[in-house]
Amino acid sequence: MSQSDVKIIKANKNLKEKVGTGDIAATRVEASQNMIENNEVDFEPMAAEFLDALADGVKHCQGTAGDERTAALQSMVKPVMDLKANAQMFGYPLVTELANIMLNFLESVETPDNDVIAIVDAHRKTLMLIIKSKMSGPIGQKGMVLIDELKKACARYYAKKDIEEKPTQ
Amino acid sequence: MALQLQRLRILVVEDNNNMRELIASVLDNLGIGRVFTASGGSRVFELMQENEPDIVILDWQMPEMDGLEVTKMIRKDPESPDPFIPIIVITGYNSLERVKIARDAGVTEFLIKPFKATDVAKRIEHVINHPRDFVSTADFFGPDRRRKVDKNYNGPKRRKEDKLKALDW
Repeated sequence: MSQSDVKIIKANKNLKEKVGTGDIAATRVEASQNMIENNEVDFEPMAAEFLDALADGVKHCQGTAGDERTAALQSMVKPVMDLKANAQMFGYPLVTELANIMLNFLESVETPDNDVIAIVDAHRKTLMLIIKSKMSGPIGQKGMVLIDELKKACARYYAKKDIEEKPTQ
Repeated sequence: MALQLQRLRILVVEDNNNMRELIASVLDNLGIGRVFTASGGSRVFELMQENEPDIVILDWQMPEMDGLEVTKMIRKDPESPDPFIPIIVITGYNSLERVKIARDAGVTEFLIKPFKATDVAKRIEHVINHPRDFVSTADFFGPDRRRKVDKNYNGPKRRKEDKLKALDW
């Protein structure tokens, strides 16, 4: 591309002129955080929806091979991402922590082989139990054990296949 | 100095009802003047025309039209009410690869779920306090994708130093 095809348009200062510059008051941020932490949304129905989608994703992957299976990976990635994104916001930090490990794992895998699908399915069953047992609130010792086990399962797979976990933000 | 947030108008597009309400409450608690919400991006131009938002917050994964498709539409469609509007994309994805995909779609800021109130506040402060130049090329239109200035960079300078045309608007 020639340089004449590139145009730089100077930053728009309209927003600065409208609301000024500076920070959002710390008291406001604190009030917002309190609101997040004390929201009373019931995560269970949402979780059930995501876990059903994950079960479908697992089945879908099991029923495919080759390029079709590579494409099917996203059917597991999306519900895992939804679990990771929403669980902590609605009181289940352990679910977010575990789903985050699983999300990074799935984002590092190109084609899910049977080992990957087995790890995801075991993870799904663990999450179902956590939700069923209402293991909300701070991550306790039991939760730490689950996190450690999942990390180890993923690490064993990375070592076996000689792949590296993709970098995250 | 504190920002005059009561003058700010934000449009939130998120398909998950609970998450949409939570984000709206967070913004309300931060002191944002007007918060408008929608569950999908297909009517985004209409919503922008009706409500004249200063910032749009979009969920990445939505059923009809995802947040990145909406971003590209806002940035590139000739009918767009405001191609330069700051767009904050929220998502559970956190791989650097995904961040790059969002950046290449024309997103201004990237907010990872789960988030804290301070994360939301920082993104809002950033789009107000540090508006970015826009770059227009044959295949990209959006905020300048270079975020960090490397003071030790000794390579060729292909942008301002090459006297690219700067447009005031």
